[in-house]
Amino acid sequence: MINEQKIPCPVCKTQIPFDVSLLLQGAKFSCPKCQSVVAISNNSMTQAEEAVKQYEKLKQSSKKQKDTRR
Amino acid sequence: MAIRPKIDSTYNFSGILIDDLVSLPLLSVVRSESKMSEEQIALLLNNCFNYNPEDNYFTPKVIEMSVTRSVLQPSTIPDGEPNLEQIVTYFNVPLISLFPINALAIQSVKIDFDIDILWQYNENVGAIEERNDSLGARSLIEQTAENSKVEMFGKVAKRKNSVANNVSEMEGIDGMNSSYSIDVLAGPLPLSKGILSIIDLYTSAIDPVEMPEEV
Ligand SMILES: [Zn+2]
Repeated sequence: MINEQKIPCPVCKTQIPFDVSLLLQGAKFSCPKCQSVVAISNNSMTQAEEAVKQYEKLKQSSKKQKDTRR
Repeated sequence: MAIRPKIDSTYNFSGILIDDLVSLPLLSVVRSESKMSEEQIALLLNNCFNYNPEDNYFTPKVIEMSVTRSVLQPSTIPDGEPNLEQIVTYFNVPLISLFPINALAIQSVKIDFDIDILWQYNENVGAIEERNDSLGARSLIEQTAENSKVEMFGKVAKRKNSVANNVSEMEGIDGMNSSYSIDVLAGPLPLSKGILSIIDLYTSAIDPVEMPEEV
């Protein structure tokens, strides 16, 4: 399942669906109503990449889908 | 030839109370949930904040975002066509507001098993019913429900593994596995109210202020 979050469009307040990992990796998300494009600015890309790395690491360690069959 | 792990196919959870069959996995889920929360808090503190050991403060890390929108600009030439321009606005958001904080919570736990009732003890009659299949046992419980105490003895039923041939090969010579299975699904849950209000606060803070019209 995708971790789909929503961010209010800074222009028209319409909820823009986005995926945090993709956003932090540089993906751009556009508002379905006014077509404004929300993205991480280039100045913060290094910081964002580091954050997404940490986040994915945690996600891997805690994704426990057990199926114990004996 | 592949080495296959030895798994006792005859294991039937004998001696374990039915209550424990249900509660023990739930307890371990609660424990892992708490471990996950601890890890998430550690992630938030290390990843979304800068720590200053001198004053013991955590300052939120801020990330710069941009909004690009098309704006129609009047032409510089009289009676000319308006120009479509891309205006980029930069704004800062705290990193914490972007993370799906409780995305890693345990969403559901499914404990699934069938029980073969081997025999039951009825206190009133004091009789021991002999070997019933699960269907037979169910009807017996209904009959004795009014007569107080009934104790049942059974074992976790075996389930024919018809889907995964390789699994059945691995787990039992006869292709029969115990029906006891636990599925834990961790998934995204809605963001907490607190985080949503932080996001709202920042959204209203970056709202452009309209300039009063010139008279
Ligand atoms: Zn919009």
